[in-house]
Amino acid sequence: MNKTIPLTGYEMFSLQVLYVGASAGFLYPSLLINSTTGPLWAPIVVWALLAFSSCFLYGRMLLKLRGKELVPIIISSLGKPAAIMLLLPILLFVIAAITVMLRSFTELVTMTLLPTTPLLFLNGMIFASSALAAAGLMPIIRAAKVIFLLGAGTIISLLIIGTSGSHWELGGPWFQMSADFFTDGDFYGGSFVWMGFTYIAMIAPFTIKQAKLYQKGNMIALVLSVLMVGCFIYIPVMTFGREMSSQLTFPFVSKMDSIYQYWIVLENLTAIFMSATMLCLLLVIALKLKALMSIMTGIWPKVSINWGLAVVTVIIYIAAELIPEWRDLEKWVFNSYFLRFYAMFVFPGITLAGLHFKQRKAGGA
Amino acid sequence: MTLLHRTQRLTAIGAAVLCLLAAGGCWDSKDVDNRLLVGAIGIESTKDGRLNAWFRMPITSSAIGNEKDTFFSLIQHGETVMDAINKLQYKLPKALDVSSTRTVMLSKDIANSGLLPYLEFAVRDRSVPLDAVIAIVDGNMRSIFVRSNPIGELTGIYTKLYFEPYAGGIPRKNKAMLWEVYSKLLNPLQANLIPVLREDKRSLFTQIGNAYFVEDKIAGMLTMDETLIYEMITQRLVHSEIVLMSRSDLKIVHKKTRIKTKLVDGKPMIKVSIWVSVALTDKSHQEKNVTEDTIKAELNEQLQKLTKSMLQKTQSSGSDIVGFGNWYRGRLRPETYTSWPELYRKADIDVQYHVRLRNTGLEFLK
Repeated sequence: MNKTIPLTGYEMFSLQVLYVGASAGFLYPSLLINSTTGPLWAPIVVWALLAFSSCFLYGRMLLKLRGKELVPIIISSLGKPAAIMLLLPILLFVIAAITVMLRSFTELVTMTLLPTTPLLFLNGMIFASSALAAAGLMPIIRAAKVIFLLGAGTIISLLIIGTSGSHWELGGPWFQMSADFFTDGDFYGGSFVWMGFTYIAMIAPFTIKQAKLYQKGNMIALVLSVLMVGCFIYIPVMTFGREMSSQLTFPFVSKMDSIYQYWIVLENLTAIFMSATMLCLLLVIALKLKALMSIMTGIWPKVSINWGLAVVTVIIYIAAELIPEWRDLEKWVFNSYFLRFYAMFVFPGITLAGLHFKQRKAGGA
Repeated sequence: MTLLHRTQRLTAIGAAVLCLLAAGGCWDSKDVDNRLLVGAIGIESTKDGRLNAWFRMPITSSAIGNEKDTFFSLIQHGETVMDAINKLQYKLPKALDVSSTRTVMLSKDIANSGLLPYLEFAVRDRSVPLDAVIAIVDGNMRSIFVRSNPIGELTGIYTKLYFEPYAGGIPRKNKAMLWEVYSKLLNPLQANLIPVLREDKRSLFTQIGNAYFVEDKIAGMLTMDETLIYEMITQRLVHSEIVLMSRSDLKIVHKKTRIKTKLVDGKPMIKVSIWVSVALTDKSHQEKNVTEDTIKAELNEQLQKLTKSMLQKTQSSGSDIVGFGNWYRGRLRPETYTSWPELYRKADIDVQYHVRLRNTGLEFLK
């Protein structure tokens, strides 16, 4: 397997957009709608700014890798004990993130399309992602390029179709500012949407040129992500109003249900949206598993990638099965935001500072 | 063959077998031959505080023994609609599938006592499609469900076709879909306007007007002509509509609406400008002084009269069917939204029509 194949800006752009496609359409809109009574764009803008700053921080950190992968550099620079301390929360976070992502999607499938199909079967979709992750980085990238055109393309088309039957006046208030979302758990619970680039940083080696491409590709993707997130939230709100949208578990999915256009040949747009989301999700889980294995094999080089992946996959599968109720899932989403903040700011901040001092010391010596 | 290759081959065979297992079918599959697809549901309250649910199901051609019956109707008593659906299953050899329901009809009693408890099941469980049409039935709904449709369309579908703009729907009929009704029930800034049907001896049913609501209870009824004004203000008038006048008959072919709102000393000031483009379809031969100006003036007068009566009815009951309140989302605090019906009562609403006689048809108006 060629470990030094460089990622292009387009590939990183595709991965980030797929991440938003996989995560922003189902759980996120209800979290954001319920986080404020003021304009909905305000929390979106705050999160977008945080995502841009985190992406910038990651970009600066990757500039220091000089052709190597992130985890080995951290270990060689900070020493193994410190590196493990730094990476363990990320490890825990990624495992939890995959579990929640998997279970929330299969729960969505149960609620909307297949009410009697056992979760035991639906959760099995992780094995497909695991197989993709086991195949290596380049199969993930190649699959990402295809799914980007297919999955993200479908989602963007559905977003455009979704604008039918929506009214600006229902989206208000537009200007009556309120900062109440800062004190609302839902606002922090929604942070998971804004961190696709953190996984991308862990899966491949980065030269200075690639680190610059990472920043460029992800920044452009974040601009598109903001537009997509805005649509995922405002389309149901401008159709159903704030009141009904805030009562729906999956407002955008219900919006897909409500579309009725004579010229649309396909009747069940919800199923199409779910299929497109599933394609994105399969890829994103593979990306996360790949990031997870990069961390694990970085810390414990003797771990076999395939066996490690198999064990982690089974653990996640069982964990997703063991979540008893939807409320438990929501609680985890709310309560794990500190891990996401850690992954977005603390981890790259400490790593950047560590690498900076180490390289400065080496330069001075 | 190395051990690695052998392992890979075994893995591939294992994966292929797993795929075959998955292809065997899914847990939720039910053949269309084993389902009774519900076309229309009717819900009426009963004296014991429960409900009767009517179901009208088309019979698929493969299942028809003699060609006389194209539909099958059943009524079921129950605590809730879901309870009735469940109990109905006791009588049926096939699975009752309400996911294809085109229309949900509610009795006027239900509209008087409150719609919300009767519609929640459809949204929460995603059992009935969100784009199903909602209508109120004034009087007995039995004949609507048990009589054959004389026009002969697919049973159940005709109730939706009746409202669809691409079929028999005209703006005055005011198609109201389940998600629209449900969202307005939850939105304190807008009230519902739902079509009211009554059984008809020849054509199963006919529309007698549109009921406006305060919260989830019926507050009054608009005539079909008054409904036209609602359609124009809300820009729902997508197709042409005929207006009959003393000097001429006109076809409204295009319109544009602009709404400007202000809040002056706690009083909503609303200015609506509607540009109406019309075409002449017929002119009176008894009236001699029929000119373009007289036609426009008469149309303007007629529209103003209908607007006045429509606003008088809805304002007096605090039922903002147009949803002017949504324009005030930024001017009122969210916790005061519930006081909008009171504000709407005292709102100053000015509606101006700008009539353009686009053409006089294929004949000059002399």
